[in-house]
Amino acid sequence: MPEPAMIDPLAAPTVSVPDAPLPTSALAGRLAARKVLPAGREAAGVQLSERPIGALWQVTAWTPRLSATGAAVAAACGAPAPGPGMAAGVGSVTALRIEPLRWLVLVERGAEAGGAVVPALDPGDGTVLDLAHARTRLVVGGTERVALMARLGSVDWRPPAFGPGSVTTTQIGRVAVTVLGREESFELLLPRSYAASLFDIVAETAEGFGLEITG
Amino acid sequence: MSGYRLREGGVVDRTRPLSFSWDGTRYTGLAGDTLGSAMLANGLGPVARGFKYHRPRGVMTAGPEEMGALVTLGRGARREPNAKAPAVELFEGLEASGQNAWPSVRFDLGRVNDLMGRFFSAGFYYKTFFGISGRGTWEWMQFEKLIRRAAGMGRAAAPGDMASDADAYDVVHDFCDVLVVGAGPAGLAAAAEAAGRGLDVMLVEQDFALGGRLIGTGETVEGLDADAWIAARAAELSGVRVLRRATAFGLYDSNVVGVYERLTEHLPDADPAAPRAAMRIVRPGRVILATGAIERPIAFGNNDRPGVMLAGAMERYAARWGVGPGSRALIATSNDSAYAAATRLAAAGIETTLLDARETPGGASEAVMAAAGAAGVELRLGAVPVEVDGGSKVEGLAIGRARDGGEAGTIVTPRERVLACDCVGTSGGWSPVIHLVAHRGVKPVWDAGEGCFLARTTPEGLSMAGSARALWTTDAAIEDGRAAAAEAAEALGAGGLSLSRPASERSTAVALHEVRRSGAKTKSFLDPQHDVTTDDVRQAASEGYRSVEHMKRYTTLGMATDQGKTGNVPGLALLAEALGQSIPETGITTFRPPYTPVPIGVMAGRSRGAHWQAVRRTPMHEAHEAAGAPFTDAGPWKRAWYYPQPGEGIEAAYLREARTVRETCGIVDVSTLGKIDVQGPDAAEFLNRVYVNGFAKLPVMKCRYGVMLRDDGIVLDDGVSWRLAEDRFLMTCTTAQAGHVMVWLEELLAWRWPELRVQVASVTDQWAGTAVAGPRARAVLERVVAAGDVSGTALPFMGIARAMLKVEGGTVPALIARISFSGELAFEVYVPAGWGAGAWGALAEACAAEGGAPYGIEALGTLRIEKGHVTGAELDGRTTLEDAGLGRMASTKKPFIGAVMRQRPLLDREGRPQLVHLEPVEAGVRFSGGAVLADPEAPMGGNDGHGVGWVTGVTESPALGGWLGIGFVEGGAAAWEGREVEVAEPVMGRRGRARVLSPHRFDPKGARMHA
Repeated sequence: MPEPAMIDPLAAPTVSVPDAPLPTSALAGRLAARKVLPAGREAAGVQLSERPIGALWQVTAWTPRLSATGAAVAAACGAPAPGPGMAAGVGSVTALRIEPLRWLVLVERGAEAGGAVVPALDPGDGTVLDLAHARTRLVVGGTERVALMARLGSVDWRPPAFGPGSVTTTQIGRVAVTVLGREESFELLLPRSYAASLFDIVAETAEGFGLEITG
Repeated sequence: MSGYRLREGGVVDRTRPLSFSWDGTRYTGLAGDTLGSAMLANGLGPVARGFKYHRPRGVMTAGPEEMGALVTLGRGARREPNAKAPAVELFEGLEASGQNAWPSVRFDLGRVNDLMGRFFSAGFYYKTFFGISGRGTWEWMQFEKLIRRAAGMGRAAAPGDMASDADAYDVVHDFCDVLVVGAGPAGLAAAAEAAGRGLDVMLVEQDFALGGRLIGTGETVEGLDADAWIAARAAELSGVRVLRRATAFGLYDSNVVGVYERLTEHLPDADPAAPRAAMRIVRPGRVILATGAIERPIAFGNNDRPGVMLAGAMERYAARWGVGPGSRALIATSNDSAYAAATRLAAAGIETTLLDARETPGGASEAVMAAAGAAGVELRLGAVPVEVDGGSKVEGLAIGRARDGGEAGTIVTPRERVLACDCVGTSGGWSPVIHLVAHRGVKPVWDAGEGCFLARTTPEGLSMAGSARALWTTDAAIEDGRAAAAEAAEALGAGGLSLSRPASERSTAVALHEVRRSGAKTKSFLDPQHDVTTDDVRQAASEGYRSVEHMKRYTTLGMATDQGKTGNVPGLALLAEALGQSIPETGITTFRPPYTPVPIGVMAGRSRGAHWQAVRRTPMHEAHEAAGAPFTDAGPWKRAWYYPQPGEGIEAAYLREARTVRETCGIVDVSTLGKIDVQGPDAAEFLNRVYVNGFAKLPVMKCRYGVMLRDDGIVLDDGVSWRLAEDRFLMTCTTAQAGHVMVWLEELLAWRWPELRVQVASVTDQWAGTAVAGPRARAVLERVVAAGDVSGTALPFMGIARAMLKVEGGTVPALIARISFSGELAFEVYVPAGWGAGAWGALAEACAAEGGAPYGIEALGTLRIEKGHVTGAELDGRTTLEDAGLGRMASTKKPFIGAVMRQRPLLDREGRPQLVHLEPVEAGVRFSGGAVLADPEAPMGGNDGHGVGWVTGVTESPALGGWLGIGFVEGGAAAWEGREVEVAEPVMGRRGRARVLSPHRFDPKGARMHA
């Protein structure tokens, strides 16, 4: 059997290594479909699911090279680099401005293959860091998602204060979590090691609204 | 008591009876009742006992200011003491019981205390129990246990059910433009006005109904019946978030408001899994406090008897709940508001007499007198209550004349005659509810004209409205509420017409706080909840408690759940009188949150049990679980402790695991190590400054052990940093200090060396780490490496290699470094976290094939103690490089953090504690981590009894044989090797002797790990 090609785990989008199995989810064992409806509720107000990450690049600019780094981010996501607290992107790539000098470039699972969306950044402009395995994406949907989020983090989650395309990093369960607002959901980027524990907290809190876990 | 349900009136639903139990007996109330109104309607009494004297008490108010009817709700784990019956919404099946009484509140043997009341005055236990034998504090501490047992009101849960709160709670974060607190006339008007101006409004009301004191009055408000007016305003609140059963209990910086919302406790069939209550943390743009006012009682003899109430409460029971407090009522007042109460009762068919301490002219207005007279109220002007006759109920009221009224509102008069009655209402004036604004540090100001404290200033973004601002008429309160909303809208840029605040009409009330019977002493209460009497206040003054704050603590006036709602003003007025000074000179006690009690559980929210702290799991957690490993906590991390085989306990397991590593090989999950990505052209220079040893010249694909110091020269942390590229390192740090180190590096880059082009980021969660250790470690790796070279040549000690690992389902990329913590040939294998479980599985299989096994952190501790390696137990914030035996690592060719301060004389002195091994002198003797080491030949063990060292870790050592400790001894092995120290564990009651040895006895040349 031929020796497999050597892959540098620091340089490639690490979830799409040829011949590698799919990464194990930190929520494995918690995502079995189930529904909890409290008395008086006929439909679940909250849906929870995991949306696997294809690639997640943290792009950081050197202070004087912000616009050059932003251009690299824009090229990766297909849209102007978003400003602070905002996200932007086209298709399967979304850039999230998480700090004054820092973006996350989030690529959907399947679209990362081949490395086409690795941000092409000159080292003189900034740094790129792979965090695809470091985060677990939990999708919070349903009609009561805003009410649920109000029980998890001290942010005004109602649109327009936090509408689609909004980004923030806040404490949930006393852990820093980056949250992305979508049209019909919130996407929580949970630190992988905390993901199972945070999922349990989110799910328990959601049960009061009627909870459906959709996998 | 003498209460009963009136034939008509009230806004209760007479078609919906609700059954409830009181002390085990079933009674019936109506939908819309409170427990207090239902108790009154059923003529229940007494319903409570006083705290100290165990005197009988009944319902005294119609709200959360209740000072008499404190009861226990529910049972078992859902038992809640000290509920105020008038603030409890009645529901089908409600269970309530008496408290602080034995065998029951109707017949309480504790009432004997009342007969000995003269011994129980303010401060009696301090005076009594400090001094019986003259032994002061010692004596007090003996009695304290008995006093604590006797003190308190009710039990939080039945014995045996106190382990946990059976209910769930939520913490909710809310945001709005305007938060209106209180849904009386001012609050409703404010909320409707603000909503009409397009603002995002929240309205919180502690009651379950909107309307405040207007409910059921039939008063004409803006051309509508009061209830119709309330409904009209409520209809305007369609876009407003209206929270009923929600109490704004605290006001904090930036006008953050704490709201306690009761969600299910009024529901007969509540889902036990649903949150019982929520704490809402509201961050509004503006706050309008329309919190109303609380009526004050008048203190006179036996004014705590069941049947004595606030006059306004009597009115509300008749108007809102259709309950008559008695059939023959006497109402005593010194202001106009009680006329409405008297008129209401008379209109309900209750024979009513009103005593007004004021004489005309200058007393009551002609309008209220005419209305009362027309309703059939008998008026007695210039008359005051002196003493209630009756034991467990009101049988009559002795009255006197108001001729001796003092400046501070005290009248001394004899009993002139007794009027027959079965209930008594009093009104000594009104206190605007300014608790919340006072939470922000606003000092209440005494307004002599209004006879109350007011908030003359308010913090930015906050305003008050209605009777909270001493506007006593409904029309003025409504106008004020709307004007407050208009102000808020203007401040928030919402526009609309400006509205003017109404002016206050001058009150004709006179101060009346106490009526004292001349020539005789009877108890007259200021704070019935705590059994504080008028004499207690005078006694406090006479004993030197001149400060109102000291008086409060000495007498307990206004403490605990009461928070001075009713008794504070009369109490400080009497203190002022006793001290011969004015009320403003006397001041007022400080209001602090919470305004009304808030369960501790609601503050915890979901942060309890397993969710108290989110835990961290490694990517291999499930594999450890499947192997039967118990877990131990390392900060938030769950780490596999040991892997027991059938029949093994912890000791057998870890000894087997450690022995296996030494003999063949083992694998251990090291994913919890902190991992920090350090990138940038100045990355090497950065590490060179952070670590004591040099990193600038570390070759790419090599790693190095480093130690970093704090600024003060003490060791901060240690770990291995891997150079992966010219401009990139992977720094590892200890599990315990990972967060601290990350923050430290960020701080250095942000503030100290902003010129360095370096980025740091935590990648702890990106990588799963497995250490493979033991003589067969390389053979294990060779079994799983599909691509890459891990031979000794290609991967020397402290070298790094890239590799592809064979795992179930394919191959995955890995970084492998040859690092040893155990002293054996060892490697750390890092793969992206999503493949951690796969890599662990492959390595475990290969390890087993080589005769090895996984090992947990107990065995890891054994191996490192044997080797003499330090961890957080040794690097505990007191240790220098030299103490840890690492002094030679410090570079003399470069500066580094801590380089200067580590040379302070105290840190550089001879004889500092240094790392050593310790073994028991007598075979079979063991000692524990934390034990103190003493010099057996020095007085008191050395250092004036502080000893000469301590033990940081212990293990049974398979490699060195027997029990082994690691720790610090002054002077280290150089001074002590071969000598004995005494090992003292005073907490365990153990002492023994240990021999001090070098910590570098196991493979001192490092031949095993360099193999």
